[in-house]
Amino acid sequence: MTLAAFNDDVFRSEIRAWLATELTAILAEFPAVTPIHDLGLRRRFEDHLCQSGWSGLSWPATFGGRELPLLRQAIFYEEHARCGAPLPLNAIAHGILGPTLISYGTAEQQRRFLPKILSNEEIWCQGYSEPAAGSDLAGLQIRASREGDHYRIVGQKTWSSFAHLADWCFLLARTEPTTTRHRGISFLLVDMKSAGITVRPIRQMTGEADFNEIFFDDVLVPVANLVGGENEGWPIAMAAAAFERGSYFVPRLVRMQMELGELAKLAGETSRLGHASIDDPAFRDRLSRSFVDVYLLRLHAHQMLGRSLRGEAPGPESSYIKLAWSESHQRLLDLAMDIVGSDVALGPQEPAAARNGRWWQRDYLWSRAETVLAGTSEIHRNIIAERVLGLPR
Amino acid sequence: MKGGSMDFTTLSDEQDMLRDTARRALAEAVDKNALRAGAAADPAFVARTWSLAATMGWTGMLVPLAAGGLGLGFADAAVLCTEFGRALFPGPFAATAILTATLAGMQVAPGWRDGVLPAIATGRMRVATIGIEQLVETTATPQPGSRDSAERPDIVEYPHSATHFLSIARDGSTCRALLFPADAAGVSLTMWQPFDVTCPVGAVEFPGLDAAILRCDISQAQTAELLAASRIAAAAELVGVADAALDKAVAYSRERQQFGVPIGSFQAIKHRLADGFVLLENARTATRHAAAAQDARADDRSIAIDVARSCAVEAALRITADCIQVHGALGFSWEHDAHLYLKRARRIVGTLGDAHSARRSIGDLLAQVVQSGAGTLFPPIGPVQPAII
Repeated sequence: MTLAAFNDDVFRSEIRAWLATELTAILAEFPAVTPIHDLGLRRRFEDHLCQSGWSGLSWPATFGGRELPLLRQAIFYEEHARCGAPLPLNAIAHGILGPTLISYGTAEQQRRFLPKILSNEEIWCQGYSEPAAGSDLAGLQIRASREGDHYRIVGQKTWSSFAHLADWCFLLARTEPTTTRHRGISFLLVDMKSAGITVRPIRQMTGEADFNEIFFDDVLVPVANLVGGENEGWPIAMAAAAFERGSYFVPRLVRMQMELGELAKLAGETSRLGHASIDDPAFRDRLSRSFVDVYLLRLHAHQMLGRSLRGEAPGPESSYIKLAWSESHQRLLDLAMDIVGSDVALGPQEPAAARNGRWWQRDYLWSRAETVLAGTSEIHRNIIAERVLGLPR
Repeated sequence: MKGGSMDFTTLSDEQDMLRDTARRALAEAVDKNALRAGAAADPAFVARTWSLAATMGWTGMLVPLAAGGLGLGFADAAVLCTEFGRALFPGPFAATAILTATLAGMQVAPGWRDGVLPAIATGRMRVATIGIEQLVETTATPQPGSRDSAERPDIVEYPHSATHFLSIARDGSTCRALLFPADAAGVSLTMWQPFDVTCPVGAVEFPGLDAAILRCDISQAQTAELLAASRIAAAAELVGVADAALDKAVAYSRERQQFGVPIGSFQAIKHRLADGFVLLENARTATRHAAAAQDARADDRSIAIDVARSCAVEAALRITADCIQVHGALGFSWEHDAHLYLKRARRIVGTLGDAHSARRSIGDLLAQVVQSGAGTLFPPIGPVQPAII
């Protein structure tokens, strides 16, 4: 098929108009200086989308999903980003846990959890990383020991986004203490209201606290909350990571494209050495470089979509798109700081720091996380070298 | 639109076949040991490899079927140019099969189409170009006393093996072209030491304009088409050079043992090669897209081409240099192929515009959009589909 079939203008213009109206109405509920990354705003807009039926876009209809064609999903994510909507809070439930339960969950788990993900009534967090298991996830140590029809969980998770707001946590724990590495790990669903759970927010360099430590002191989890078989959690977690791809990158690419437009505008309005910044040859070259970066990411996104539409298995592109996106985003925001100039002295939450409707300082600081989360740049380079180029491990 | 898929996100089955056939045949025909020993300086060696390209129909890839060619578009031609780059093909392939064929195909003046296209398709005509950089319109005038204004004649690639010379001269916003047979009385060649041993260079002196068998004026729009065609070919060739160099570096890092293990198990090597892979994928995708945009005559194809050459230049220079680094001292020796890739990349970059000039035209466009407040920085990605991202 040719990609000319990508066009779906009616759907696009309807969704664009609807998003613009709804976003305006919801922004009006918040004080005018509310940053777009405010957690309350993010939750409110996500709730509204879900309650209006814009959730489970890729899920089968039998599980309450919209079962939209891939193309329409991409258009929705694109328009969602383009209208300037706040990022979702519960993406991990919609993009990872939901599809995992659809593929691996019991009928009872599907009945109990999926509807409340679709309605966004329950927020989920992910319990993967531990203090001693970051990039080396298979080195995780938290214990879940079987006691009758419960598991007893003892240990700690960390870097868990929004755990302080979450109702539930899906986590990986070691159920077979004598085995190491990938074997002996199980995938469990844990009620965050269970006795023995303590959540401690971690303050980030942005001044915000999106991440948390979670402590599990003899937390009892019913065996019914085991997903897949006991000691069979690792392949489920690996498959779950693959569910995330499209919905993760499309919005981020669109955002980056909008940021570049705003940055070029800012460069036309600020001056450096007596000229508009955009007329400074060094700045202009760096803007052009970022333009090329964004253009390439758009081409790669097309390629990823083209591959999915042809029904081909995902290639290595998710690793190099992650690498290229995170590193070129940092390059763009480094340039933004240089163009912002002495304004950089204003803090990331200071309303007076917002230029062109964007909190550049905050985005710059946040971007330092982007080469670390969802696989560090080093891990993705290893993946490319080992799985694509075939270099020895 | 000429032949070729509108879909840049994948190669068609026909393009896959074209690539595989070309790769096999060229690897056999172009002996790299001979290249290192200077075989490209021998007109008979160039003529032999050229006859393979002609027999396969490749010299006539852009030539319409009616004129004896394959009637392909740029998307297909780019696949072939990449393979010619991979093989370090020693001959003026892009100058003949892309530039001269595009010029003649535009029927710039009587006689060009009939006089040139069939001869290119059969392989009888092998064209070296003089003054190709004149296609780029520049407002800068050479500084008095600078090297640009020196008396040294234009550098011509593969002059010793050409059957014809295409001379391009700028006149304001348009150009003029003259086609000379290499065997015209009074034509004299001076050969120089080449930077890239696979590409002999020299100067060509003509007895006078009367020796030209064809001449034409090239309009501003036609000049832009020629430049676009040449740049796509150069980007595609650079992708091939980079691809071959990355393959060599990867293969070597899997075999070469130090400290008791293959050097490819070291992260310092892995990460260098992974970065090369990302640059190569960027260049490959952008070049394929630019070629599809050119085939479709998409409105924003000049941006697509600037993006492609910016990426192709960056990938080729970085990967060919890294290929030497990964090979260590062996990579520095004449006896290894690594220097051939680096030199070829550098030579193409020098003659067809560096990444800086590509980014400069993108930057000018950015400034224009910002300062006029009109237009959009990111027109939809053409030509394949305007909708997504």
